[in-house]
Amino acid sequence: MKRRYIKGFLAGLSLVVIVICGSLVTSPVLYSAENTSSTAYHTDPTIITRSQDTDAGAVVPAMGDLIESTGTIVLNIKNKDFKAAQDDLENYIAASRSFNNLVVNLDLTESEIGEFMDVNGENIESLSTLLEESERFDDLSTLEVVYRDEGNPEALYSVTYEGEALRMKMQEAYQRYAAQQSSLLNVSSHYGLSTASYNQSVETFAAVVGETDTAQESRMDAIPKNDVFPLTLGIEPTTATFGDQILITGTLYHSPEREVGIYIDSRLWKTAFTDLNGRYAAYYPVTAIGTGKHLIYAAQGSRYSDVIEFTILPAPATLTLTATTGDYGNGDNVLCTGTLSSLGRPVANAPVEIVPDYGAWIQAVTDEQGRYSCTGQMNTGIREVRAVVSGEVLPLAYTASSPVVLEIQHAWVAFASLAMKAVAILFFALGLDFVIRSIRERRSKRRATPLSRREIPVLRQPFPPSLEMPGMLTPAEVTRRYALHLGNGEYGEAVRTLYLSIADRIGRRAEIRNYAAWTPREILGAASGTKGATHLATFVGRYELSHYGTAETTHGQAEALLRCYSRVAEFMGGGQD
Amino acid sequence: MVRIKFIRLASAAIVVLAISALFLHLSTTDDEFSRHNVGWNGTAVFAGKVEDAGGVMLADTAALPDYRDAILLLIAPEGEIPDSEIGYYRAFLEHNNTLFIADESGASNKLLREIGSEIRVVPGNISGFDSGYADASLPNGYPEGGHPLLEGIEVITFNHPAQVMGGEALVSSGLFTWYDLDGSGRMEAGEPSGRFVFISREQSGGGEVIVCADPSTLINAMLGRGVPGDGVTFADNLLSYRNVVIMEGVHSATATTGSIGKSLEYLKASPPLQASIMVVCLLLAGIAWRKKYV
Repeated sequence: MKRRYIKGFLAGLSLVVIVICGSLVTSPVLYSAENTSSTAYHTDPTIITRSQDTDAGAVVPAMGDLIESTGTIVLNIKNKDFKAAQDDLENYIAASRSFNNLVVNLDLTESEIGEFMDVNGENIESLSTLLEESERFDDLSTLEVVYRDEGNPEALYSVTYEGEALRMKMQEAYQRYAAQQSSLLNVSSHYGLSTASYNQSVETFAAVVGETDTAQESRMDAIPKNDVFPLTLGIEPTTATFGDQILITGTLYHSPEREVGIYIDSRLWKTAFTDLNGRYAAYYPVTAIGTGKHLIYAAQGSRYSDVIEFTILPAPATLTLTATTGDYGNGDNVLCTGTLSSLGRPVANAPVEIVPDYGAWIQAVTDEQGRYSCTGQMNTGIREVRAVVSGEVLPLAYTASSPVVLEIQHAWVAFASLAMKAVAILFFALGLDFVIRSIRERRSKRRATPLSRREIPVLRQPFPPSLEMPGMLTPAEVTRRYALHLGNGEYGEAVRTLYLSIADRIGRRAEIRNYAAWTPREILGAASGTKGATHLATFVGRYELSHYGTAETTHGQAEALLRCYSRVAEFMGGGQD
Repeated sequence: MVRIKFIRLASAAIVVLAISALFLHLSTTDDEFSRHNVGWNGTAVFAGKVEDAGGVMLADTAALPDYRDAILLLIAPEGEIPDSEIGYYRAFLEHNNTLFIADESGASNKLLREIGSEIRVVPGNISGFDSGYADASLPNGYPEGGHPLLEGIEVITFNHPAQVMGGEALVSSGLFTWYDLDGSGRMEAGEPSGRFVFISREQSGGGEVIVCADPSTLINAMLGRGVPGDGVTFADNLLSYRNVVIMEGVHSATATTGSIGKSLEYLKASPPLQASIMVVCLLLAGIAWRKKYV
């Protein structure tokens, strides 16, 4: 009984261990030096990777170089040496890219250095705009001279209005550039960097914009107006945001049913036809235009309207992101889906960037319902991913989705996990098979297989009439002897008494005189085909187990055999045999 | 017969080995900074160096005023030092000795204030990218000035240091160091950054006070091979700085130990007890010899 409890306890314990191990099979957390080598006071340095190089020392000099670079770029633009300015700007962009990588690698994106990186990015945009627009403005000045010499008023108007758009963009770029000055100076002073060149660049930038203003104003003044048959233009409202519609109206005097071109930021947006009174109208939907200031004018042949400025304000947006990992073909391991809406309306054809924490990005475009979906490849590890939209090409405020944390694994990790699961299932199946086989085997052992006795005629002969067999023990007597042995703790003898009683009955029936010399299975063979043979087989199996087993017969075994004996004896007729 | 003897001998050897292992296990400890802790976070290596250098383990602060030309090493102080003992430290300094405190918890601030020092330990986690490891919590410190303690030192690796304020800076962090307020290991907006002082000194009360904001520089793991920097040289310089080296064992975490360790400590500090045990051993040996041969 005691042993059974121990076995049960061990089996239960094994099951618990298997369950615990099974739950950890795919991501085992085992004892390691890392688990115990860090306390509130210190960390064991032997478990920490040594850094190969100290990139941190390169950050401050790199910042200094970047700040110094800005001065020459703006100076070259002012001197109209656009080639040199372009080269300087490209070098500046390349250096900024390296610096950004350094900051990301050092995980400094959320520090003052990260702030410097953002300011530097804004400055690159401003300087790029200044260079691009200055170069174009300079080209326009050349064209203006040519068209004036040719006496081509239409081209002259076109040049003038484009110049106006350029001037406005340059003013905006300057405002952005100057707005970064205080933050950049703060960071620079913290790290002891010289900002003389940068300060000079801000002043030079202002001077370039001032020169452009002067040139553009004189150009505008030189435009001959058609005061007899003017082309007028008006818009309502002059400030709009996503989803609004701007009403554009005007009159082309004394010109019914004429085609009037409407230009937004110097690009033809739409043509409208005048009615019988020369009036025209159109609605401009604010859906695909960047935030900030824009210009609009109308033209018909050589007749031009005034230029009107309007402002697009950033609208709040809602951006969702759902990201899942998996194998999506072509090495893509992430699927990103989500929606973009603003003021309750879906935003169509909007570029959405999926930005993981290490900086690279995947781009998607929303459909008519504002939904986007894309796959991409991301570096392995635990990644924090966001979806982002900016207001550069859309009338939306910069918006980022809630971050989604992904665990991106190597392909082999997934395979290994699968293999480990398969191995676990295999082991489980083998274990189950073993248990089932053991149970079956034990059951089969309980019922012994009958054996045929090799016949020895001398021994197998009927009792001679003269020899009386000794009187058979009654079941009561057998039980009494059994109880006697049991009381003395002689369990083996008690069991033997039961067996001999059964063997005696079978020997009498089958006329086997020397049944005591037969093996239990031979006795079973002699009784095969009789009523109760199944119970007899169970009895013999149990008897063999207790009598020939390696362990001492226990009280429990003896009691079990007594129950078997009673059933066998009952089938054999009880005491009437 | 020979076989039985061999089995007995082997059994006896196994028993002796097992008892030795058990004794060794029970006599050591895993307490932080303990000089009986031979693990990575103990100071057994440094305490061994102190003993090799002829240093003494201070068991009673009342003995401090007797020392001359000495350096007292108070490593990882625990709890506040009672007012009744502050006078001993003052007297120690008055004799032109050096008090070296390695503390990151701020437990030594009361003592520093009472002895008239301007230096204070500011607890906190200073992390830095100037590190020999891919872990910002082990920042480098760089010597400033020409103090004899810094001879032969170009860089010291610290391990989760705090910072010290006041006094003359001896060792400071690199530029990319910050106060990791949230323990994220990342330099984030709002976390003070720049240079921080790890070791500072000043003349105070007739002697010299040196305060290091990281006792972990003296743990076994930091004095082992393979640790970048000159931490070992710094430890050696501490031992050779003055004629006498005293390791404070009253208010320091280096003194913590297990029960058997305490007994051994008591035994080592008590000559009468040592003599008694010696007498008992001799008596037992005499009885055994008498039984066998007389």
